[in-house]
Amino acid sequence: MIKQKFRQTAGGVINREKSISFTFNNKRLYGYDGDTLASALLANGIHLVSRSFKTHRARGIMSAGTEEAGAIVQISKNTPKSQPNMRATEVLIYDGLAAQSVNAWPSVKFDIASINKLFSKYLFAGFYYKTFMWPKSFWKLLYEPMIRQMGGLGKCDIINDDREYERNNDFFDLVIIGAGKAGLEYAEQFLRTHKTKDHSIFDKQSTNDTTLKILLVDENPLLYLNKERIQKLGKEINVLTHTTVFGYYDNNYLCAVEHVNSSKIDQRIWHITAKQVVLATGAIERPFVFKNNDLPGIMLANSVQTYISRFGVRCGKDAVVFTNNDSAYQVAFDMKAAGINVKAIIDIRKTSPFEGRTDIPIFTQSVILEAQGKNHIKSVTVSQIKSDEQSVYRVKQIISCDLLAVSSGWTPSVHLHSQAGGKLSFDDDKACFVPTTTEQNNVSIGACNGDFSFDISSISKKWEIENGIGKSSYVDFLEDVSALDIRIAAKEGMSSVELLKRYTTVGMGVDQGKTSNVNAIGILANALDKPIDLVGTTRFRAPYTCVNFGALAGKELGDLLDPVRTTPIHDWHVDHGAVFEDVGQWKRPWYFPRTHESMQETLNRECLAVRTSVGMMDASTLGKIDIQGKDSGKFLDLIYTNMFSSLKVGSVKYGLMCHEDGMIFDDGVTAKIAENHYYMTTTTGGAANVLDWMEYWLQTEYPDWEVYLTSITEQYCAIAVSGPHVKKVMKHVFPEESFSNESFTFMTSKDILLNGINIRVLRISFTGELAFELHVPSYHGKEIWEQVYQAGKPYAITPYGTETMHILRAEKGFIIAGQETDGSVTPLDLDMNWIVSKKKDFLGKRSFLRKDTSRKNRKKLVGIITKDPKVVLPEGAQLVKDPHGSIPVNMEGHVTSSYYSATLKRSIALALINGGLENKGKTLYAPIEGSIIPVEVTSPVFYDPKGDRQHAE
Amino acid sequence: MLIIKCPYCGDREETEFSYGGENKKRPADPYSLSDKEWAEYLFFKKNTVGWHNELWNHSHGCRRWFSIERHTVTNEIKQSTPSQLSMEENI
Ligand SMILES: [Zn+2]
Repeated sequence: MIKQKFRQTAGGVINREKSISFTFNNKRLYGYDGDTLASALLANGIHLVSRSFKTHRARGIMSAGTEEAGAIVQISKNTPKSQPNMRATEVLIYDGLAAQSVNAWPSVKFDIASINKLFSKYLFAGFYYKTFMWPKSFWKLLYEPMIRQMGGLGKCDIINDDREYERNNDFFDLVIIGAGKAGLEYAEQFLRTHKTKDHSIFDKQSTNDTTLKILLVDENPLLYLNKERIQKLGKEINVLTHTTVFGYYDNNYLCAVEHVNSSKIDQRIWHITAKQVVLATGAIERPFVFKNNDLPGIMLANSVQTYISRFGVRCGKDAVVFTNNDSAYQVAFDMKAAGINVKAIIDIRKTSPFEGRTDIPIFTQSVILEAQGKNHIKSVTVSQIKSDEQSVYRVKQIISCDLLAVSSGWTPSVHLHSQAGGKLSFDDDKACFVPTTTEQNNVSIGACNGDFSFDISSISKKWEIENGIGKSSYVDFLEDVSALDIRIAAKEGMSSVELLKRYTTVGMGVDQGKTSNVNAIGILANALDKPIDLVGTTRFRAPYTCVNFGALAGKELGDLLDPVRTTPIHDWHVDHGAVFEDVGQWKRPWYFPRTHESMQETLNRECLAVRTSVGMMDASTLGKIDIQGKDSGKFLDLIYTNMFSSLKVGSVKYGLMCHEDGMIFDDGVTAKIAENHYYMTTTTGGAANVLDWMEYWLQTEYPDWEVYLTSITEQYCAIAVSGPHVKKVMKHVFPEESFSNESFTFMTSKDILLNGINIRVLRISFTGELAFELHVPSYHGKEIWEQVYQAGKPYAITPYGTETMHILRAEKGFIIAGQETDGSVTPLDLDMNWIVSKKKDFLGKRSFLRKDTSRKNRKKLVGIITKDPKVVLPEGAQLVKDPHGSIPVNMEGHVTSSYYSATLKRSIALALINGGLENKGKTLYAPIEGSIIPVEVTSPVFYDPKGDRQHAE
Repeated sequence: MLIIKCPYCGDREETEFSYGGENKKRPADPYSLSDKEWAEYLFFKKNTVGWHNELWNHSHGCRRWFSIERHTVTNEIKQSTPSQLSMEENI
């Protein structure tokens, strides 16, 4: 085993007994159980992890947490567990882990100087905007190929993710986010001072006497936290470690991702509603902006300390510390204690409270002008600030080092506070944004509220060291945004942080600008010569950290993505080779092809079978609503445009429904079963809407009417049998019944008992042929379907699907709500005046009097036949009078339905055109993709216009 | 995700409900209105910033319609009222 050169022999929470083997860029390395990828790499002396997004500069590990903006890796490339854009500081190592650099082309160590130069020439501030403005050819030929080759953060493997994810929903009285110093103290204090069943803390009226549900969440694994105190708390409250709250939504609704990492579950998404939220999310240290501040080996000071205390890892041998506040001094002392040679502390401030209290040389009123090195820091240039506090002395000192620990201040993690709608203001003394007002039931405590455990008041507000134009002084390491870019943006008029963000993409990387936001705002404020508070900050948006799409999808994949509704006859259709069509969530047979039959051949066969013999169709998906109560008739008169209260028991009527604006929204037939008892059918897609609509009127406007509505869609199958031989088939199925026109008249219904099954038979026709519809209790649906099929065999009964149904009804000019109607069509537009009652009021009637709905030249329903009978128009085709007219050409209307009719041996179409049948006999044109198709306006009833066939004996 | 109180079933998740829009008083006699007044009722919404009286249907639950007061900026929900009561009170 290779020795981990930078690992101390003792210290940290890692388990030195358990060695872990992993690979980085295919090189085998070893770490210990408890290591992150970053700590294991550092233990092996590896800082250089990736290349930056745009300029391909060398980037190393710069932090120890979610704020990491340098060490971006791809895990398990080309496997089902592949994951791009992972921060090495957050990946726990395990045996067999394979990590790769991102943007490393051709390799992470090879410095592509020439391309680098070429690239930075083009990737300036506002690059996206300026480039898109340029001639298209520049984009296609130059930018896109370059960006595709060089850019992008990792590659998304097109392999199914085989990890398991799940989702959990829960409610808590109190959620504490962050188990650091502040969060732990709050939880312990809460338990000491409150009774565990005292709900009045959160809800004065509560009479609940259950134990309060409290949750403590922290993004770190338990190993990295105060294990003893958390385990003690865990006996009384719920604790979730290695769990990041990434979204804070309205009504105290939180989303969190738990890294379970068990053999069964990889991640678990939590949806939590909390009565009270306590934010104890801590603060993030800021880097300095100076020349080459992005070199590997330059790290946030606190992270150097974390690597020592948590992992027993020294991040270097010879170190320099650069700070503008007190917090970095303790880091320097800890580094020294761990055996790192701390050569100097560079402090921007005039004086340091630690002078004379340490033997580490302190350079006050000094700055680091730049860092040197190729793939790793080699030295820094230090200079003293003149008394004008702007310029520096020409005398410079070079200090060689392999580690630079920086701290330019602290940024409270206000992300969740801001996501929840809370406001922020800039605290000048602390040099950071702190929460002010909150919009929801939450409170921020500890460092995320600007209450630090050390004295921050002496901080200097300098975090950019200007040296040259600032081209290699990076603000956002992930998005490769430099101080120069921000100044260019300011010069070009980006006067607020929102504009700056969009223009330069600062803060838009996978780290969401955790380390760059405040520095960018500070530099912009300087450039604009405005106070920071006036430049402002953006509202933070979810997610706080990257979340896998897989985790968000959870179990809702494949068959579980969306429920599938099938009719009880479905298996029969499958067995008989049906091709299915999705209608909402329903699977409906579309057509039943035979071997070697094209779709059109199938449709021709199915249509002709119904017209010449007999066919059957599964209509079970129709919405079915049982309506009872003494006011049912009156209620249907309100809902339908035509009269239902006068209907005789045993009769059936077709009806249209309109919204209050007078536009059709559904149709169907309704049978009167008994006095005050109706059986309504609706369209397949409209079933739920119709029920909601009817309930709305009953509950809001007519609550005193006695009407009961019950959805029975799934309780009944519907079998439509249709064709000249249908009566013989029916007689065979129901030998006791007479189907003569006299005893079973058109538009009536009968409940027939067959072997103990009550079957509701409706004599209605949607094909124009003699037809019956059998409404059968679902449990017996398939059985009755089978009986009808057997009875029909002597007549070659043909099962048909929705497409044939559409053709047959179009031949008859019957409309389909949702196809001939689109929410802007009245019954009068369809020349269905016969169905609009003059005797009674109904929903939508008032609107027929409106000037717009009653005008003459509205679009109305017509039939359309192409001059060439073989040409089938596409549905939606626009129709014009003059195909060579000047643009814009007036559109006369559009095709709503269009098919080839085997019965008529030609194509047919329905359309809505200006003036409707006034145009009968006229020629219109359908311009389709360069060709112009001449058509003739006809009656929409193409077949059996007198309607004799459905009345045949 | 909003937690909405159905007056009949109690607190439930938003996904169980369907939205019914602004709770508007229906004119008692539509025929006595001018076309303009009728169009105001049909097509024009207040687009309130602040407290908004609106209808919801517990469509995946008890199927009852009711109204709530929701703040359109914060999504805070104040009270819920069974529909027939709210329609009577609403002016
Ligand atoms: Zn309910």
